[in-house]
Amino acid sequence: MAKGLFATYHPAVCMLFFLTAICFTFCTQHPVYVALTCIMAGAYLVYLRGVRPFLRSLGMFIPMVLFVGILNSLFNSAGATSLWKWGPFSVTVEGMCYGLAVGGMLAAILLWFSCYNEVMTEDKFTYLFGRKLPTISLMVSMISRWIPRMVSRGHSVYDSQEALIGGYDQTKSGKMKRGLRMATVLTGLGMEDSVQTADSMCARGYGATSRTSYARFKWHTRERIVLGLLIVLLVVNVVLLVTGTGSFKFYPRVSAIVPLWGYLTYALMLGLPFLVELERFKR
Amino acid sequence: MPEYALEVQDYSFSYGKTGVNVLNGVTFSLDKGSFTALCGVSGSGKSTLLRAFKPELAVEGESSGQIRVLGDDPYTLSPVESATRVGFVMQDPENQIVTDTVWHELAFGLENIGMDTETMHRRVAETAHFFGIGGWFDRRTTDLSGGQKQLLNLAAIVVMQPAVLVLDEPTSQLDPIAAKDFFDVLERVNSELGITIIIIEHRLEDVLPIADRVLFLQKGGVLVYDGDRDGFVRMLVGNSEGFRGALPAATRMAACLDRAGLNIDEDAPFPVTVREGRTFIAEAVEHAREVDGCEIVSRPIGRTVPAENVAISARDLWFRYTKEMPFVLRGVDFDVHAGRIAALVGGNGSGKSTLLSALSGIRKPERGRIANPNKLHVALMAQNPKMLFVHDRLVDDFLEWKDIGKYSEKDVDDILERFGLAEMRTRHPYDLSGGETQKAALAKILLLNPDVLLLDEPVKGIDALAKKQIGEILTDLAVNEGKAILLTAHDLEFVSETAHTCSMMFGCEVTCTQDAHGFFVDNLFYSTPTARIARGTLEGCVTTADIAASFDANGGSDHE
Repeated sequence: MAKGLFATYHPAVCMLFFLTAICFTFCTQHPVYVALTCIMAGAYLVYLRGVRPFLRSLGMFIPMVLFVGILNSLFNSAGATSLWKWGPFSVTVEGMCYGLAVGGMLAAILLWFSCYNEVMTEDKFTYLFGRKLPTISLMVSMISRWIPRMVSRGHSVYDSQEALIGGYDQTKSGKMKRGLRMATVLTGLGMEDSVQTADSMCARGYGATSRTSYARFKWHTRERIVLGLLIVLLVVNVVLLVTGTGSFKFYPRVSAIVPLWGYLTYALMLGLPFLVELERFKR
Repeated sequence: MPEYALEVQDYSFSYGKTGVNVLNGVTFSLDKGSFTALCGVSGSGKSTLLRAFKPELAVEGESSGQIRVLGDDPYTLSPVESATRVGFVMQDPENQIVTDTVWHELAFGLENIGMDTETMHRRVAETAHFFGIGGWFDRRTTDLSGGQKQLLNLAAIVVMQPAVLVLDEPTSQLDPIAAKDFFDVLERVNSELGITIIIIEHRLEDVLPIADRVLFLQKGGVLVYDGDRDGFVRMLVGNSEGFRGALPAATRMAACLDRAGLNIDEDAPFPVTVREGRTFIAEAVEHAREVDGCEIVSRPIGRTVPAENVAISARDLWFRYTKEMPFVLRGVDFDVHAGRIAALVGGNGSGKSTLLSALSGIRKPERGRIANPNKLHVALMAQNPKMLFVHDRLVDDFLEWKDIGKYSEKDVDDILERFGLAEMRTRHPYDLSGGETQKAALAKILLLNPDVLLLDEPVKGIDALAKKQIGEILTDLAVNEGKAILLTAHDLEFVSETAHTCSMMFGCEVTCTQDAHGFFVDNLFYSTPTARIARGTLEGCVTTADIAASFDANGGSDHE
């Protein structure tokens, strides 16, 4: 179970939040926006997983940001302020800034996905998309049971076979033959298993009538409020982004950063997981 | 209101046109809330009978007679009614589980019958509480132990509130501790929820004490006994040689004293539990001493073990599956001797299977070494014997390795004969019974002519008769052919009768090795039921044969 109150919200709220965060992050390279989304995603991941695992994942993110930054500054020679030139390569301040912004954006997307993984567990996903399609959700559930079983059974069949006839023929063709044999055994056992599983399903009335679903999540007033808040922030931010707050020019020169109210609404929207924690202080 | 939970009237069944009746005019009826054990040798049509109660699972074939569940013919019920009225728990814990999480598995049946969400939540919660599975409600089903899986299967049926619960050998794949837990819960389902239960079980040791009714089917599907426990026990004690071995140790011991004329109260019921057995034997011994004046001498402790002749030896073995996981073997020293049957006993996860696979060479230890100085051929039989078969006919499967094993078709015929499998030669290996499958797997391995046999649970889930046969085959292989045999088993009685030496594994180490008889005499709790019954009264008794012998030595025949 992921930490934090936000993870306990209805899957639809969580899903909408992550979709919003990831789409917005993807749509703008405005340095302030990029910085905000990085900070919010990073902070949320720290909140979910703790500092230590976060620092470990930084080991992957920082080189990535630098790599994209350096790559862009090497191959993109647009921009007015040239730092140095070497053959076809020309490094400009603008190119470097753009590269860092894109790197930061990619890092933020990955960070949001890490948070998504912590919060949107498989059951929430199945709940969201499987409730209207009970057969599909059951299939997903059955497959995710079947795969680990098949793998572990494959190991035991392989072991039992190696223990008996492995020593006789170590050539490539011998190994091929044993691989084929293993596949045959697995198919045979798998069919035997599925007959019994089918029995077990029939015995419990599978197909008796139209299926319902064991819904583990309910809509409460709190959820409706937070969903409303999220939608309002979403609309405001879309409007601001389209009307120009989010627009930013790297070329030919990096435009100046001016303080704007729009940044605050953006921060509020991405900080929703922290906003809902304020409920703790309610008396 | 219908009078009975289940009624069977003159029910006969045969597979298609072959005409041979699997069930023959079976008639009985079960009271509401009763707990019935259905017994019979393998092939007596027990499973076919139980499956007939549930149209979804019924075996295809010709049937006649009537079946009524709560007064209705199950074939006329609506699909939802039919699904809920009779619940069915099968043998294999693994294959009955459909979904990936515990909560979903519990909800599965209720989802199928279209129950509304609110009621479903309530039912699932109640059931999880009753079965004590609240703690692992969110777990993935693949991560559960075998015992937990079978409890979940039971819970997933009980959640649908069946009137009759039918179980087909539900504990045959479980270790003894998990089986006990399962029976405890089953007894609560019966006594606290009042659900009518009918169960096929060959662990009579566990089921007889809680069953209030016993049905016994003979080969050919004829119901020869229908009555209370004691009558059943007395019938078996009197005849049915083959099935008698399945009786609880206490009963077999009492039967043995009864034959020696030492049953003081002929009318009192035969003991079925260890506690009852202890009372029975104490009274019998006292009576023999005081009234008949015979002197009871203790049995000599210990068993002659064939001479030391090391086949393979392991020294200071350390093993773990991955570097991140804890060690499964910690400094194990172990020798396997030619001409001896050695047994490894211990709880689940104590490292028994891992030690076998390390000795076989398929797992390389991280530290320590395994010596096989005479370059002996080692074979390992894994826990699921079905994995050994790939062909559609048993005989083809036996011929599979004839080139690498350098054996002829005649050898195959001989071994089929020797293992009593000649009749099955054209059968599909998956269609064999549990005991036959184990024998067939062992036979197939023997065709490769190994010198060392490592057998992982060769008697798991098989009936008393098949166990006895496998024990005899193993003894013959070790004593007469000089094979080195190492086996693991949970069945301590089988070990005490078959093995020469016995070693206990605990906490990834081999804690002690002793001759099998001495081992079970010296152990206080981890011993055969007979040893626990006789302790303090008749010293040195581990098996029923020991008890018989200790009376015989004193002229037990005088009483006849």
